[in-house]
Order: sequence, then structure tokens, then C-alpha cells
Amino acid sequence: MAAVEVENLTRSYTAARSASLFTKARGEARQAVKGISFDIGEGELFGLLGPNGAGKSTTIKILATLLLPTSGRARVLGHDVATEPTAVRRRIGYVAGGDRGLYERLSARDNLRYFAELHGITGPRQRRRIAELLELVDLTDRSDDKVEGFSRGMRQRLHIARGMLNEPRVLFLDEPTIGLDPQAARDLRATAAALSAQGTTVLLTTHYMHEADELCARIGVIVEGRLVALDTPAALKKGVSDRTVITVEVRDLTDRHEAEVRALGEVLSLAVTRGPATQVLEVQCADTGDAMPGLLGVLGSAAVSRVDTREPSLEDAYVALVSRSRAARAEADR
Amino acid sequence: MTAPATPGAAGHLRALLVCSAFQLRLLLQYKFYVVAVFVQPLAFALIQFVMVGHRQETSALAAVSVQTGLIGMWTATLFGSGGGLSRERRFGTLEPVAVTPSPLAVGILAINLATAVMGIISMAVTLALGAVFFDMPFVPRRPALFAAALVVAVLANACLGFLMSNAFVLYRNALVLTNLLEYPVWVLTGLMVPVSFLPQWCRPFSEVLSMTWAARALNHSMTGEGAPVTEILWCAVTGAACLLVALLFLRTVHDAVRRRATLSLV
Repeated sequence: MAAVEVENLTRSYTAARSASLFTKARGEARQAVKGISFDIGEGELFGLLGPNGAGKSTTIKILATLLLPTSGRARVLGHDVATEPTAVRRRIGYVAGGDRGLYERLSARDNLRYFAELHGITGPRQRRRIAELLELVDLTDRSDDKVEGFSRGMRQRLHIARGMLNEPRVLFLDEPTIGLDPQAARDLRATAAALSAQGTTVLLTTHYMHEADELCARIGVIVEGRLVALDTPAALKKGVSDRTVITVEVRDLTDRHEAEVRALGEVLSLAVTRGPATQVLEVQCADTGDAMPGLLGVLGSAAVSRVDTREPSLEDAYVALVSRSRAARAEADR
Repeated sequence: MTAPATPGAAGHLRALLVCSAFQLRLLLQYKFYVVAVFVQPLAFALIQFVMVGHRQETSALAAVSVQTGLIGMWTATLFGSGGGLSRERRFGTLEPVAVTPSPLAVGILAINLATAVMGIISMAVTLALGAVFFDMPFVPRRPALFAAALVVAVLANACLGFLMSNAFVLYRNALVLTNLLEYPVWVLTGLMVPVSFLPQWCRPFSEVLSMTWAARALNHSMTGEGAPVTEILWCAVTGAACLLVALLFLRTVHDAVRRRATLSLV
């Protein structure tokens, strides 16, 4: 039996501003999740990647019983998330990234005690479990300090501890490393990997490709509510192995430059990162020799400071998938 | 790795009491709220004591103490519950509470119970004011019944606050309802004017509100008159009915927030 089964799941939101106490919401429904299906095996560490607003958090919230699906079906350890929420909640842990979700004016230990009680974990078992988790997330020394004085990383570690209070068989991690310093993020990844090795099923959403590459046995890519790819990181990378990535650092990139690069016949996809002083273009192309002259010709007036070529990474595979999906969507809309 | 056994009714009750204790600790850290719980009944009591003080009637002075104490208790519960739910939204703790196997009612009622317990401060303030400055006997004629009435009044208040909390869970802007509901409950339950002064059509509403019975039971146990035992029982019955209605509503509200996705909204 799969730990998580998702069948043709959809979820729509209606614009809240159009609803009032006396009238039903009349705004146009926006579909955040559009008929996705996937399974996660027991003990598997599964990654869900996608741009902001792609439907990752909505999917995880449906699986964690916080939202009802509009249609389709999802089961966690055989229990339907829509109709058997309590059975699901007994078996899962849910960790959302960010600063919120903790009682600021209670200590770390009291936060854990509060949620332990709601999980039905009491007495010596509660004390033992809380001590273990505080140790695991390296908060033992600060366990009696109020959370309001905690850094973002410490709060995030406390979130993780809370999510693991009931020794969940399925753990949902929604962007858990967001805002963490590199060491804390690395520790968290090690914790996730250890849990998976011990048999806990982990569903992870993240924007950090190296994280997904390092941890996940399989990855699903969601774009605009649709699952556009589902495979191992190696297989996803293989999908772009016929490409080369040219990285160009410039100082004066304009929208016109960007449009001209996209229009080049040899360019398969483009990602731009804008820093305070420089801009970095990651250009995927089939052949470096063919693409380079045109590329440098277009960017000649953008003050090129560095040019590199490299093999595609998971991030490049992801960018290619997202670009391809958006282009296909735009084509279909026309 | 096995899932923990589902907590039964006793487990839920334990969780409710422990979480209420934590919520009480949280409330005590909001100094303005504590001051409001202290000052408002004091102001009401002072005005009413001055109005009836010249009569030197123990029953009238006791009524002032009890009624203004209950006024403060209702305000503490109503504003505390609304503010508590808003705070849960602001801190983003409603979702983590909802995703535990305990019923959502436990997490919500813990807030209501803590706020109702804060109302004891109001009662203590008005009793002390009457005793110190207006020669009102501080010790009730029937102390055991007074204590029982106070406990039942706190629980019944928490149930009424819980009923209101359904709106606070469903609508993130429902905090404005607190202003709307404060005064009518004072009037309907006879805390501002006797219920007999109200129009005939209003009185059935008074009779189904547990606070009306709490006021009668506390008054009578202070003065040694009437039948406080019956009134305590009625207070318990109306409070329990309120709890039942609130629990039924919350099932609908729980589904509604999962459908509308409003639990995480601030």
C-alpha cells in the first residue's frame, strides 16, 4: 500500500473579496490544483517542486486535512483525507515554513507541551519525547526561553520538533528550510533523510533544487496546478542531458536584451537572476558553438563580465520543464 | 512506529484543561486586557454602589456586586474569546491546532474557558469594592452555594463564548461582533436592569441565557434568599445546551473553513 495516494485531485478557490455575510462568493473560481495524481511509497522521501503559486502548498494542505479537495481523492495510509480527517491527523506531522505557527509568549518547551496534549501525548512519555525533540533540533539550551526572542532558524527548528511530536508515519514539510542559515538547513536535511531511512514517509516542497536533488528519491514538478513531470532526479536531469548551459554575467541588462536572447533560435530556455550590481543569465541551448556568437552579439551592449558553460543540473531540468509547460499553455490559450 | 491511541473523552478533557491553563498564562501577559477586566467592572460597580448605597440594603448591595461582576465576566469572555481567536490567526497557530487529532473544539474551548476564568477577577473586584467601601458583607450567606454558582457561571460563560467563537473561526473579521454582543447580553440577562423591566417578548431570551440564572443564583446565595440550587441547575442546563449547539455548529464551521480555506488567513 502506498503511504500517500492522490487521484485526479483538484482544488479551486473563489475570490474572497466577492463574498459577504449575506451573499455567496461570485468571483471567478481559480483552479489552484488541476487534476494531479501521484503515489508516494512508504518510507519514500518525495519532493514536490514548482514556482510560487503552482499549487504545492495547496496539495500539501489537502493531504494534511486542512483543506477539502474540490474533486478527486487523496488517501494517507489508506485513510481518505476528506472524510477521515481524525484518522489521518493521528498519523501525520505537518510543518510549514516561516515565522508563524507558534505561541510567541510561551517557551519552546511549553509550545511543545501544548501540542503534545492535543496529540494525546501525556505524562512521562510527553516529557521524554519533548526532551528528545529539543535535543534533536538543538534547542535544549533555549527550551525555557520565550519563542518571541527566537531567530527564524530557531523557530523553524521548533516547527520541526512540533511536527514530529506524535512520531508521524507521514511527515509533510512545506518549504521547511526557507530562511534557514546554511548550517541549519543542512541539519534539517540530515534529519529528513534520517527519518526517511527509519521508515517515515516524507513529502517535501522546496524551491531549493540542490535540496531536492540531495534528498528526494522522486520528484514531482507542478506548474500552474498541473503535474508536468514525475521521476527520479537523475531521470529528470537526463531529460535535459542533450543541452548545455551557458552562464553569462552582465552589468547592464535591459528588458530588450532579455527579449532578444529569448528570440534567438538556438536558445531553448532562459532564467535571469538580478543582483544588486550584476545580472546572471542562464541560457540552455542544444549546442554551445551555435548559440555563443548570437548570444554574445545580443549581449554586447550589456557589459558582459563573465561567460561559463556547464552540464545541466536539476535546476536546469526544472527550468526547462517550467518553461516548456508555460509555453505549451500559452500556445493552447492562443 | 504506531500512531498514538486516539484520546478518549477523558483525554480531551485533560487536553482542554491543560491548554486552558496555557491560554490563561498567555492572557495574563496581555496587560491591557487584564487592566480592562479589572477596571471595567470597578467603574460600573462604583456608579451603581453610589446610586443604591444610600438604601443600606444588603440585598441591593449584593445585587450590585454580583451583577457588575458578571458584567465584567461577560466582557472578559467575549473580548477575550474574540481577541484570542484573532491572536491565533495572527500567530498562525489555528492551522497547527486544527491538524492535531483532538477535535478543534478542544483548541477553541480552551481559549473560552481561560477568558471566562479571567472573569473571576471581575467578580472579586466588585465584591471587594462593596465590602471595603460600602459595608456590604464580604462573606456570602451560603458560601458553598456561592462558590458552586461561581464555578457554574464561569463554565456557562465559557460555553456562551464558545458559541460566539464559531463566528470568529469562520469569519476573520468577526471581532466586530464583540461590540455588538456585549450590551444586549447585559440587558437580556438582567445585569443592567431587572428582567421584569424588559418587554414581555424579550423575557424568553433572558430565560434561555445561562447568565440570567447565574446572576440569580449568585445573588440569592449572597443574601441567603430564594432557591439558588435550582438556579445553579438551570444555569448548568442552559450552559450545557449552549455547549451542545456550539459543538453542532462547529462541525459545520470546521467543514466550511476546510472548504473556504480561511483558517490560515489573518
